[in-house]
Amino acid sequence: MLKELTKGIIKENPLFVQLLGVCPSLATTGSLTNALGMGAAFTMVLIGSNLIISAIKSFIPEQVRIPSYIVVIASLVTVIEMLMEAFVPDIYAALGIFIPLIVVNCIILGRAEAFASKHGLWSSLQDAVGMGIGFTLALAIIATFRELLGTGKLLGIPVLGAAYHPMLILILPAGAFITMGFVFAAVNYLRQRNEVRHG
Amino acid sequence: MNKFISKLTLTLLILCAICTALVAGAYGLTKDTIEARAAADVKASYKQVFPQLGDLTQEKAPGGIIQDIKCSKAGGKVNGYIYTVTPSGYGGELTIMVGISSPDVKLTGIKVLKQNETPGLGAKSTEPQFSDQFAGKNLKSPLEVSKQAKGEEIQAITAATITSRAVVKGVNEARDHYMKTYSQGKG
Repeated sequence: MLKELTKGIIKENPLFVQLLGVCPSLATTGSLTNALGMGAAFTMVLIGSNLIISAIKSFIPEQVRIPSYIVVIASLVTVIEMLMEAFVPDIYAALGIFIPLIVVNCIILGRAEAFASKHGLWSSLQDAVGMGIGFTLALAIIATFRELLGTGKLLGIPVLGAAYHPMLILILPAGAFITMGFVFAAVNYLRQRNEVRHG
Repeated sequence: MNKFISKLTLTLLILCAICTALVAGAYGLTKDTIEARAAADVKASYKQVFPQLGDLTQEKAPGGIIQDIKCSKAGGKVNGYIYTVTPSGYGGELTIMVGISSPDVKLTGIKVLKQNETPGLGAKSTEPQFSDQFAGKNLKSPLEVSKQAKGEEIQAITAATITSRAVVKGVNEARDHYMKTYSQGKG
């Protein structure tokens, strides 16, 4: 019943397994707060876009589906951004800077193309929620390492004490690549070990 | 074939028209609220650097580092000026709002609006620990920055001397302009 939901969290995790959305992941994992903010904004947009694409899929001729999806996604993001700025300014202040980044997030288009355009509303909703959780989780893991080791803090609260000397490079752009490399390697190791055991 | 192409074109045309209508509708719906909020945000920033905020009028800014000057009047009398300055830091220009009270020439507060300094070092310029120490400083003489601050000096951010100096330079530019332009011949 909920298998479309759970697949996005680990088995088909958009960032770790499909390697989609790497660019915004590099940019927003400098602190855990940012990562969670990006994850939340992303999930919201993905739910909206999956539902709309799934609803209009039978009206869109196959030859023009990609431009159609792009128009729908870009309009949706713009509308959400304006509504948030006007009616939920507190959330907008926290998530606003990530919203334009979502337009260029290829996971949204990827899910529209690979899933929502071929499945019904209920499955597409599950898919969006699952992929949203999976992406948020992946961002949170990378951000936890970067913030904790790069500043000695977590969610802005000091946890490692004054004796810890922060590795500043981890919160700089280069640190995003380094951390992501290590996390991807660890995830691949775990997945392969799992496959050997069950395969 | 022609029919096929018209169908594709028509689909895209209708889709784009609907989307444009929705975006335009959302814009019309939210425009006033967003503008009112933006104006309130700017007012809140002014209030933060200049708590005795009165009615604001625009002053002529000389350009260069000093981008904008607002004059505050309370009860018909000028009680201070708010400067927006953009000194160069380590990672490009910083945008800083500086409040100066008149005629007693005191720094009422600063706020770093925009910066691109190193995270964890120069970016600390936005934190209260650094920016709060500016409020209440006497500006009769230029502000000094020091690694061991005493008296009217500003305590530099550890390992971010360039940023600390840039902020102080911004304040001093505003001070110099104030002394030259608005101080009654006592400059």
